[in-house]
Amino acid sequence: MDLFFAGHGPWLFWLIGLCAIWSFVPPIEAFACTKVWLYGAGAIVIVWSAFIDFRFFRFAMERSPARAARDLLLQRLISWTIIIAIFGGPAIPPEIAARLVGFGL
Amino acid sequence: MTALRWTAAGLLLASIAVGTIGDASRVRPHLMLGGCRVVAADFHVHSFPLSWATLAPWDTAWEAQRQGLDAIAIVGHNHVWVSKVGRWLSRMTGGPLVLTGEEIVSAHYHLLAIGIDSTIDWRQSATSAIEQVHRQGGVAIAAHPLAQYWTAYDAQARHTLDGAEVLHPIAHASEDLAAQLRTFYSSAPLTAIGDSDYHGLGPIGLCRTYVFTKEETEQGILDALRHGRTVVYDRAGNAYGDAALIRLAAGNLLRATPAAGLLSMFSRLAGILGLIAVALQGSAWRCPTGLR
Repeated sequence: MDLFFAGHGPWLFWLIGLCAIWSFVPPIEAFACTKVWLYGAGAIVIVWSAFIDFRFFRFAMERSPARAARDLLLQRLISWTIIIAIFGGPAIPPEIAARLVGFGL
Repeated sequence: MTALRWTAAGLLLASIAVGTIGDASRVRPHLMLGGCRVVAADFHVHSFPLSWATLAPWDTAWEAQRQGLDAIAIVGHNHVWVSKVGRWLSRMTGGPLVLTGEEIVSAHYHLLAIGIDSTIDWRQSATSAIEQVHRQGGVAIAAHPLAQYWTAYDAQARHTLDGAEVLHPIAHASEDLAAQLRTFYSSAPLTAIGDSDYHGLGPIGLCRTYVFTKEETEQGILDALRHGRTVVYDRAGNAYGDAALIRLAAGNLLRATPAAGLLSMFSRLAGILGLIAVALQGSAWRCPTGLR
């Protein structure tokens, strides 16, 4: 169980970074820093936590590399879908539509 | 318990204690000008869940009060039920005035519908959505109307729109974006609105609207918005809104956000260090390499 939650470590650091920005940077400047942190550090954290979780499935659950990768994708699909639905909710379809409009589709 | 755990616990407890002792709400002066009560309001506040926001409705209302706001509109993305929960809880706990509302998020425009009770469908034109807002007795405000949204507001939509956000945190990101907001606001006779578009980061009311209302009720505020009785200040001190009210309010409303005090800074520092100590202890960051 401890090993499974090891994958949360990178996210914890990411959230602490966000807390630090909003604790010490004046609000008007903090928006710019937040954008960099959300997307820049967020991309690193997504890869880092995926690596940890892959290692969890590979070694703690003793899966083959292919099976570990499949389990990782399944876990991400289930948990992230729920999180996005709870946070984004009814604005997701128009936001997707807006992006399609932006791409001229 | 390891030394790191004791350190983490000590820092977090110190942060909570010092933060609680040193915390002070912004003053909400009972200001009367020209026979009107001046209400500090933020009409673009999101709350958990379903709106990309982190604070629960009750926390949102209390935080608004802490930031010296008299009124807020909680606007769900394409729904109103969270704002109803927020209004009910704020009434129960003596919080600020909470107006119900919705941010109608469509692919082509974002529109604030303030003072409505039923969800308005986003799959329609801005003109049609504004008409539905008015049919429910609400007020329609163009949310962050940047150039990309301008084509959605045709002549009829701009004629029926009640207000537009002339100030929004994106205006602080670049002068070009700030100019786009001002250009839209100037394109029609619209009520000046300053909103923070609060999602959980930064203070509620970072950008705020001063509403000159005959009575401090939901109807009183909606009536003032319909008749353009607002004043908004940007960070440089430029005022937008009714010219007579701007003259009346000169020197009375514009106040800089108070800087964080020493206790607050200590509380923040101790909290961040405490969280880092929590993150470092145990196996929270170690990569599994095999069964233990």
